[in-house]
Amino acid sequence: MFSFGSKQSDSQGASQAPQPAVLFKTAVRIRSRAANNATEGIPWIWVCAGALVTILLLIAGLFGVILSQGLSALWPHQVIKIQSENALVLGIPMRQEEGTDPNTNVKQMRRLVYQANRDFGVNEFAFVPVERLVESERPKDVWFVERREWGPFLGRIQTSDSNGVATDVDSKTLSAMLVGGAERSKQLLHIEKGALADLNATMEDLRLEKKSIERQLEAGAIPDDEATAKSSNVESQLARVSKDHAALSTQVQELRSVDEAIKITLLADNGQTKTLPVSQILRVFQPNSLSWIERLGIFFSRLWGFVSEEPREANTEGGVFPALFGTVAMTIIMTVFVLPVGVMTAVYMREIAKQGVLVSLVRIAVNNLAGVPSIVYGVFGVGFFCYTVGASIDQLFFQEKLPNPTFGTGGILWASLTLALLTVPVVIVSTEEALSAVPRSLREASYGCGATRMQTLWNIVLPKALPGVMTGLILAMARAVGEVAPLLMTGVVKLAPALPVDSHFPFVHLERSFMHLGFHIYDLGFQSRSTELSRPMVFASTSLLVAVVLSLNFIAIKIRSQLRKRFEGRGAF
Amino acid sequence: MLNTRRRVLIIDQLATALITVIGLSVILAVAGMMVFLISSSWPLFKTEKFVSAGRIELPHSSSGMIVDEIAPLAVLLPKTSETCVLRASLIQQNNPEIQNKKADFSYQLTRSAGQTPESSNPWSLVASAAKTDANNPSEPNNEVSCGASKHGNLIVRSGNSLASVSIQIVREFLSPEETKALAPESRKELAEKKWILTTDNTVLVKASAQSPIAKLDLQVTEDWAVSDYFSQYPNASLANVQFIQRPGKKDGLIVSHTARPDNLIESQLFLLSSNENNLTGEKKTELREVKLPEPAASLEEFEKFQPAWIEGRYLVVPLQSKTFASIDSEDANLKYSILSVPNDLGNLTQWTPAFGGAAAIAEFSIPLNNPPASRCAYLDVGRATRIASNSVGEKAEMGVLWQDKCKPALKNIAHPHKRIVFRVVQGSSADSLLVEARELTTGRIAAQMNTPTTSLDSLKSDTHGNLISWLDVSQRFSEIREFIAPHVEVSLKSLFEKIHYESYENASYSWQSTSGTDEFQSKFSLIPLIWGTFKATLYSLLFAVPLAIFAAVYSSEILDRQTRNVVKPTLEMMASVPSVVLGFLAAIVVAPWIESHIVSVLLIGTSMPFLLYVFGVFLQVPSARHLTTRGLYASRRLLMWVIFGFAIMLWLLSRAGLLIERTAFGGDLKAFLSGGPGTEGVLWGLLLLPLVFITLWSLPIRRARNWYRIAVFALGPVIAVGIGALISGHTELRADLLGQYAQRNTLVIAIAMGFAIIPIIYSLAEDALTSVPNSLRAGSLACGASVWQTTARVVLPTAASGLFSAIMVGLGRGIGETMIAVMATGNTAVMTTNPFDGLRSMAANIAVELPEAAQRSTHYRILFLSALTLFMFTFTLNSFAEFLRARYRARNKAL
Amino acid sequence: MLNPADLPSTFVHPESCSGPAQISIQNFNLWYGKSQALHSINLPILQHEITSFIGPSGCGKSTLLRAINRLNDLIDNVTVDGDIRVGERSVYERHLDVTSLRKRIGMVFQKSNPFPMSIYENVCYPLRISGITSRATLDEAVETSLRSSALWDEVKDRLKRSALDLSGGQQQRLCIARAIAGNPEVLLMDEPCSALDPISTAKIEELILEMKGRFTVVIVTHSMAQASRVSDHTAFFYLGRLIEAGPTKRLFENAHSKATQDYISGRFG
Repeated sequence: MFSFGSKQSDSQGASQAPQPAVLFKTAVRIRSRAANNATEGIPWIWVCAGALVTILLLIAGLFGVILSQGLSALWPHQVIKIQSENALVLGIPMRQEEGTDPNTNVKQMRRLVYQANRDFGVNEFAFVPVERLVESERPKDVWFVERREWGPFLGRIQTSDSNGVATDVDSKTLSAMLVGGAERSKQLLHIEKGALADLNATMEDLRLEKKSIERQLEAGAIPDDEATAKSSNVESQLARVSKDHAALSTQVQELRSVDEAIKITLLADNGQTKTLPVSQILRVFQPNSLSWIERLGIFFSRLWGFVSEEPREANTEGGVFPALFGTVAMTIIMTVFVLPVGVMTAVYMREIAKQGVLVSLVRIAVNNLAGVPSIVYGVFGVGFFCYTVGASIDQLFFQEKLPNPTFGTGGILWASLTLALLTVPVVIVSTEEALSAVPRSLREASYGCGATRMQTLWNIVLPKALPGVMTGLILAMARAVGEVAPLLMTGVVKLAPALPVDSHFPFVHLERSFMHLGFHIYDLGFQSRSTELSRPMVFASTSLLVAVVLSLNFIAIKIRSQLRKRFEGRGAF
Repeated sequence: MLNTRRRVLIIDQLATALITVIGLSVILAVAGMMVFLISSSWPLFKTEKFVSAGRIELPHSSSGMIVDEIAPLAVLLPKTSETCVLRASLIQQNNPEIQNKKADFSYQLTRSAGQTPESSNPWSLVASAAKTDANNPSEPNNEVSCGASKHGNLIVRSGNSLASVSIQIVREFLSPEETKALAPESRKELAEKKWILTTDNTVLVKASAQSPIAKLDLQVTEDWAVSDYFSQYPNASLANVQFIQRPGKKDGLIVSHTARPDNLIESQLFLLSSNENNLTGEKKTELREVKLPEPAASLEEFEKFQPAWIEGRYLVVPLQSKTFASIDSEDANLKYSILSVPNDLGNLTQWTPAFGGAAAIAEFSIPLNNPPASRCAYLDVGRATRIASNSVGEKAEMGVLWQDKCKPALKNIAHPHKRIVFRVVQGSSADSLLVEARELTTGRIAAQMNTPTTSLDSLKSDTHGNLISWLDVSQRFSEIREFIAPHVEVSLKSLFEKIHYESYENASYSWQSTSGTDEFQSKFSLIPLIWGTFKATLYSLLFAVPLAIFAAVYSSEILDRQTRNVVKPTLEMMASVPSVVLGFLAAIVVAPWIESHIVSVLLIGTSMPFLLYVFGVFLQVPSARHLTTRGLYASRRLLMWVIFGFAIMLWLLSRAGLLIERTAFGGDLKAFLSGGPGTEGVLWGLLLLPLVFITLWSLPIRRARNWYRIAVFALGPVIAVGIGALISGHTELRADLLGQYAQRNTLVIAIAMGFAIIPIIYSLAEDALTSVPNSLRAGSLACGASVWQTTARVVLPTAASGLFSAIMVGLGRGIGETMIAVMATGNTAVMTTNPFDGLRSMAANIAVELPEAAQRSTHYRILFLSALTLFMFTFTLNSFAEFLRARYRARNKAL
Repeated sequence: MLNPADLPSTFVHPESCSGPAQISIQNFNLWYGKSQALHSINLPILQHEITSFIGPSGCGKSTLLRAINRLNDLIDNVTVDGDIRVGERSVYERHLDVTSLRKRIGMVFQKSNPFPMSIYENVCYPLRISGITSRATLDEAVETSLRSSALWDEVKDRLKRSALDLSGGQQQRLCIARAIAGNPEVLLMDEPCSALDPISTAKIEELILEMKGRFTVVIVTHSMAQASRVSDHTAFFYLGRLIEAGPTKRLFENAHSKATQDYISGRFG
């Protein structure tokens, strides 16, 4: 790698940009120049440049598509209304495609329009020929309502006063009602997720205890009287707990009934109405009458919702928080395993072992771990960790829960271990590269002062190699965040009931299955109800995943280039 | 004087030891993975064998036997005799403990007298006196008498009605009080031995630690009953009534051989069809007589040529003239067609239907051959019946799936649950017989067992699939052998060779691991998967390697330092894009786009490199000129020129592509590929374009450089189409080389997986190039070589093995890529050279099928086997790449 | 040690200017980024004569040598002022074809850098890159240049073997053979013998002496003994400035400026 000097000042005449005269002169000389052009190999340089440009265009294309589709998924779009041949179409125009018109089967461009109102007997998608789009009008008074169930709603909102007369609601009272509804649902959620969930957990533990006592009795391990004494106090505990449980659930009931009282009715264009409690509604706005700043405000609140809320409607709506949380938790657990093993293996190969057959064996093993297809890791993970190690753990510690396995099936621990195995070579290779970058003289100087091997390592070598270790770790995390294949069998599920970390006793439940951003994309893209509906959500989570991965990578490359700068150089001439 | 404290020394040793252990743990990880894969897949190839499972002494001869899975309890079904007495006794599995517990009960099959309504079960088993002497059974029951029995169901006659009942051993779970009443020590005994015989002679069973305790009992249910059978056909006798049950249903064919006055045996066939309306629960049975063109085979011949139900619909019955009649049971007047056996194999001596109802194992004796030899063949009956039923002459011949020389068999026993047949063959010595288990998909002999007894009366295999029992001469002792063959249908031949599967046109490699019905013939050939893996990897390397290597050359040899420090990280960042995102985008965005712009994609792919080369020759860009003279900083400006030129060319070529598609292929290449209008010559021309360019370019006409170059560029396409037109004259490009167009085809995965491989090859190649010492470059430039000449003649040869190992690692990554393969290909296990066809790679296959495969089943282990092959591929590739890189680094030190 | 301020002005003895100058360096300056390495050098190098550049390390003698055949272009942000003319063409002319310039100037490096090819390929490399492919001319060129670098007898039967198997001295002579294969007018040698043993050094010095009539040789060397033995003219550089240039005997016996005397007598540097 070399580059010629940049400022080439030439005493005969300053060489600014070639004036027209020069260009003409060069044009004339094309024919004569072309002759030895080929022997000089200039065309090959063009081909190489072309290759590099193709790759750069590919990358730009990839990130362009992801970002544009991802952002447009959360952007509040305008709503259009067209009177097509038979039906009235009211919805958000999405992608354009070339299709054949069923009756006249002539090929024409048509636009897919998403009409929402799934529970109002309206089919969710309608095709509108592009020519007709121009006659569409954008009604101002249409409301876009995001609901907890049945997907979004497009139409008019009415509140019926005491004697049942339905009048269109103005936005002020609507927002006031919404705030009240949101408040109540937050309270409800707090109770259900907090106190009630704890009670349920303790009841579950007590029931398990009762079952284990019976099992011991049956196996004759403990005498009868002791068994009856034990089970009686378990019974009493159970009674007490279910009493508080009943109290709490009545409280929840009251709140719900209060909440039920305040209702609004949704009126769709085809005349159908549906009344539902206000707490069911998450967000309301009039898409066609939003100013630019309001639109941006909604976009950012949706973005925040996307990152912090739970998924709804079988993952096609709502946020991806559990998937994000699962990915981060898994990566942290993986780091706890992969960092020490990776660093120590690299230290062993570089510092301690004699560079004999054993080390080259280890090196080939390490490179092969990197080369092994990720699905084989999944197979190994489920076979070894879940069915062998996990099953024996179940036999030892979770007897009473059998036959349904606790550690015997996929879980976040096994997934992290599998990924640790997958990514340890990355850490080893980059740590070894960092260790070899530490000049020999430093080590000899430290040994000279009488330091032992470990002291030298700890005080001199590792600190200098730290950036290399860091880049290896970050590259490993970037790989883990993006992996799917090994997780398919070792613990990722479509919809995990609870987060792997919560407020109950062991706080970190390593046996729980979890949601993962990479699997979320695979599952949404291919196994969801309708790929059309889940498409925006997939692009949004793809851009989130790519953002996470790229930021990790950016830090790694920054550290590595900083490390490289100190030891760069490939010898003088 | 400073000295190191003891504590520090100890920590030192400890730390070194720990690090060494962890260091070696990585080898354990890889070794562990390899061991695990091998241990999960080697049982596939364990040799099958017969294992003795005990010998029971029979109170009196029986026609069949039902054995419980856990407790060694056997229920002997009565022989065709008047009395219907069943004997249940514990099999003396030559352990003394059972001998002394002479548990032996006998039950009398009785039919409740009154004409009970159809729904309730008229039959019951009454336990007669516990101890009965073997030879004089209790006085015969007045009306009930039993006929032949098969797999636990009996043909019974009570009064004038003919009925079929089935006997099972059922489990009744003890109620909690009963379990409490059990004595502790018997409970402990149950925990270990899983079954005990209580004092009051009931057998208790406990399958596993968690499952509750159960009592074994016998239960009889009625399959079907024809009330006035014997009144209609007075001279039919129970002794020679045979019932062939339709698999999966309760009805079937009743064959009764009645002796006619001129003591000729005349056999009548009745098709009994009973359909149970499970809503109302009432059963409607209907008996129809079957008219045959010529008399059916005799009773003994029924033993040799057993009738068979094909696909649960056609009934194949042997006729006298060694042909078969196939009767369509769903046809109103039972239309029949004639099936014949291929006569070039010799004359038919045995014909046994195989499990799965689509094929049969037949045996032909080879005439004038001493010692008598015969040939076994596996005949495709299913296909023959279909052809026959809709062919005019209503005649068809059974196709031969495989044929093999084999010893003449005395008796064939089909296996109820696997495609295996047990053939009883004359043993080596006169008084010994040999039972040979032969697997029917590939025809290999799985296991052999010779038996001391000379005559084998009834060789039966039980419904659970493994136990075979036969009676010795005195019919007093029944020997039970277990045929252990969990994965019999898997062998090297079935995995890697062409197999002629049932109802397939001809032998083929096909992968079809599961399907709805359990009679499904599993097709486990790994070849389509291996072909898919390599096809995907080859196409993606074809896309990725030139791009990555040329980009690495440009960025390491020509690009200036500042731009390189920007370009290199962006490409390395490309490596961290998750493969699930690539796969998804390939499927959702790239596939549809390619589908609508096929010709422009082909055009760009084949002609872009040459266009760039021609641009280089003619376009006299100042910065390009300076490349060899002064500031290479001009390389950044050249990059701008190329990007600008590139965009125009891309737009031009896609427009040209659409134009060609409209004119030459009738507007749509997809339609053309599946036979639509269009000239094939143009497609040939398109594919030959690169070849033509290269040959014309390298013709050694040196002097007339310029006009020659223009000519090549202009003439190239014309020549290519010309040659194409010539070739298309007498080859059918679309049919043999190409084929249908699938949306998620190999081009899509080439681009998607190529995208994942490019950064890996790029960064390794770039490191290999930059580690070539500068002194070599200086030496070459000092001799007056241009930048490209230096690169091409000095730098590339030196870095060659580094580049090669980079490609190997890229190849390794390509083979192992899973998510892209799952999402970007149609996952169709087809083996075609057509780039527009989908494929199914091994990694994708595992990802899709393992979650559903039952643990430790054949399918589960074959998936592990394919994982092992993948592992070995990448292992050899990586080790070779590592060897190359080590040699390359050593040689570089010498420079 | 002298600091730049009080350095004597350049003095070039008239004898070194008489006769046709193959290379003329006219007030030539060179910067590595911001630091100036060469300060207005004016020096004619006579045709078919051997000129040696001596001076303490880091005085810019190698940089000047590499400036002649523009190999400095390989280093980052090198800026140049003034002119160097080879024959009658200026080296830094705007549309100069550098490759044809370098084909007329052969160069030998301090550490021998044979290409990882066969001996035959190494030597005929300069001809191959200028498009000569006829077997006869290549064989003839290889033989003549190997003979004139006294390597022919040692390698004539293993021309196809890899050049890396040769010894250090042989490799350097191979590099010389490669440099003169395209019979250039000028031969630049950057401390050719600093990495060699005395015997190989003696052989290389004999070669240089034989080239006296055929090439204009410019040799950069550390050892004054080698300069006195081999070169006709010598130029002494210090801290990027040409202190004194003239016939070797003149400089070694009674140099004009005191700095040259101190350096030659080994009092400093």
